[in-house]
Amino acid sequence: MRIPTLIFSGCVFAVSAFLAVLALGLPGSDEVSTFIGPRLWPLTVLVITMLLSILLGLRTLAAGRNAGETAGEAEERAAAPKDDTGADEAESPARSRSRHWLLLALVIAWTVAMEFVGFATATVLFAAVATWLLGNRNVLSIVVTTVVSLVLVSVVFNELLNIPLP
Amino acid sequence: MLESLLNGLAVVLQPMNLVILLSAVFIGFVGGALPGLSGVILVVILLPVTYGMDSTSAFMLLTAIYASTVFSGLITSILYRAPGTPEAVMTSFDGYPMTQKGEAGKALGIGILSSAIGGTVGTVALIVFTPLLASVALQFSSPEFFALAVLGLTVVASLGSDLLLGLIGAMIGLFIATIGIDPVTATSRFTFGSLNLASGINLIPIIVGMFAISEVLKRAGENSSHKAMKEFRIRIFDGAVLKKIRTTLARSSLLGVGVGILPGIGASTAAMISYSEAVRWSRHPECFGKGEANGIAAPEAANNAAAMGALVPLFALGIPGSGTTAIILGAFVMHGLQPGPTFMSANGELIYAVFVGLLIVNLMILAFAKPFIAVLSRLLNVPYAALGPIIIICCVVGTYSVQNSMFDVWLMLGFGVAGYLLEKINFPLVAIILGVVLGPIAESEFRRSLAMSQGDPMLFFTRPISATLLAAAIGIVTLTLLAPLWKRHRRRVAAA
Repeated sequence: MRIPTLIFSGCVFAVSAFLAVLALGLPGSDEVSTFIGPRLWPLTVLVITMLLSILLGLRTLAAGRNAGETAGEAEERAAAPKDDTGADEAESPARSRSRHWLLLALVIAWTVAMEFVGFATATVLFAAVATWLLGNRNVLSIVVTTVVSLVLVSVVFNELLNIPLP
Repeated sequence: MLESLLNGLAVVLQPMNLVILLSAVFIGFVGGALPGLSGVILVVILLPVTYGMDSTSAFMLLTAIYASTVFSGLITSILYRAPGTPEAVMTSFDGYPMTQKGEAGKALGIGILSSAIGGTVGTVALIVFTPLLASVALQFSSPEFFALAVLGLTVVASLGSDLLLGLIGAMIGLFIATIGIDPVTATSRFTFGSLNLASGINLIPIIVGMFAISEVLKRAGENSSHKAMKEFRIRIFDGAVLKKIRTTLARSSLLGVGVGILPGIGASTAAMISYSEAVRWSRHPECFGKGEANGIAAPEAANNAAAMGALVPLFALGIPGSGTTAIILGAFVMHGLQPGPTFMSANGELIYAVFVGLLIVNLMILAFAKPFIAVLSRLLNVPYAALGPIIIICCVVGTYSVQNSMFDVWLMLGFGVAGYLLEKINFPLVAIILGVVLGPIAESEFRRSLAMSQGDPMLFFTRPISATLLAAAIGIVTLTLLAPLWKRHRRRVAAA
């Protein structure tokens, strides 16, 4: 927990500092016709965020020293096997650990593909591959999910609700 | 008033109007239950349909959809931790842990009952106190609204996790709310020259990304892609549970009405404040976030009451109390009606028909929620490998449809990844939402207040209502900071 929190506080500080520099370029009260310019509020928010991120970093360092928790322990705990009752199919922990990133890559690929092959085609392919990726190896189940997705998109969203599709 | 209500009842009881109300409840159920679809989207979608209807039927339909979407957001919030509507975000805090413990039926029962009670109390307050409450809201000026927003932000202190992380989250949310063109000076802020960012970041991509997409990613990363849910039975009227939550129900319903009538605050904020109050008044605050019944009752009673309360300034002053009521205001104008001080006298039959219609909608929610959820909950037995892709498709389509923007879809995915990573450090994601919701109110009222006082910040402390609200906010944060020190001191004394 310590290393991720430190990384988080560092990122928040760096991004806030960068944005605060940008905020300084916004017009102040003396440059606009209104009493308070557009700079004061975001700059105040960003400075407070920077201060809070420093506090978080310092507190995490102090707490880590006291508790003696190491990053290795945290990683070990995160990697600990979880309850797998009712799993569709047993998979190796290594594969399941990276599955969410693969799913994210698939969602990104689907979103990009929509513009080239059309929403319906891309969605059918996405539904089939995503179902397989999430651990369902049953062909019938994959077909059912794909058909449901297609019906949801074309009938419910497009026809019944008249929702514009990407 | 009684005669007007009876006239309204006669209009509502016409068979066609009853069919309209029933249809509206079911449309609202489905719309609210699907993450990514919201009351705003549904009302917008159905606006063209209402052109061919008479005004009374049209507004009974739109307000009934509005009421039932606020309710049905709780279903997926409790079952999947994917709030169907922004108002149901807080419900997932205790609802989802209950589902994980195999108490989904109990959680849903509490949610249904609380929603119906909150909605009914809100509607009764709407009918009885409209002129009075509207006059109270009229007394609020910019300093009071700013103080109220600050008080709302101190809710992060009561979220049960880490105050420092909560404050950082609120600040991130406040910053996100500043992105776009400044409405006062038309200056572009943090848009990096992108036209997509000029109108700011919509709340839907943030909520859908952080709550629904991050959950799908989390579930995908788990060893088990499908955890079979145990069968559950929804019990709405459970004497023991009702006894436990009755005080929270009463407090949250009244709080919801009070917050709802303040323009621009809305049902989401009412749910947050009500949850925070439930934690504060509880003898066991440590139970919240782990499946506490009051943690479901508080936000659900408040958001349904606030949704009705938000109609008060709409009808009495012509000021929308929330996003959806702003769309309803637009619908009134499109139908050639102008809500405002004279609206009630000129269109009494319409308004009282809407009031009575809303009362009946709350009864319909109580009657039809159980069979509707029974059908919907069968989805729980579908493997998550099949459900996950469908949830993602709903999220993408729902997010895209708000502004027909692929940029919003990319934003949603970005917030999804951010939400997934932030959950690794137990970050209270709702604090970011709180900042985004309250940010525009806080900034605009802050600037207006300082313009009123020629830059003198003492204005906030010289006006009794704003001073009281700010003192309460400071007191809450101070108490939260001092509580651990006090506990440590007590432990030391006990050990000695």
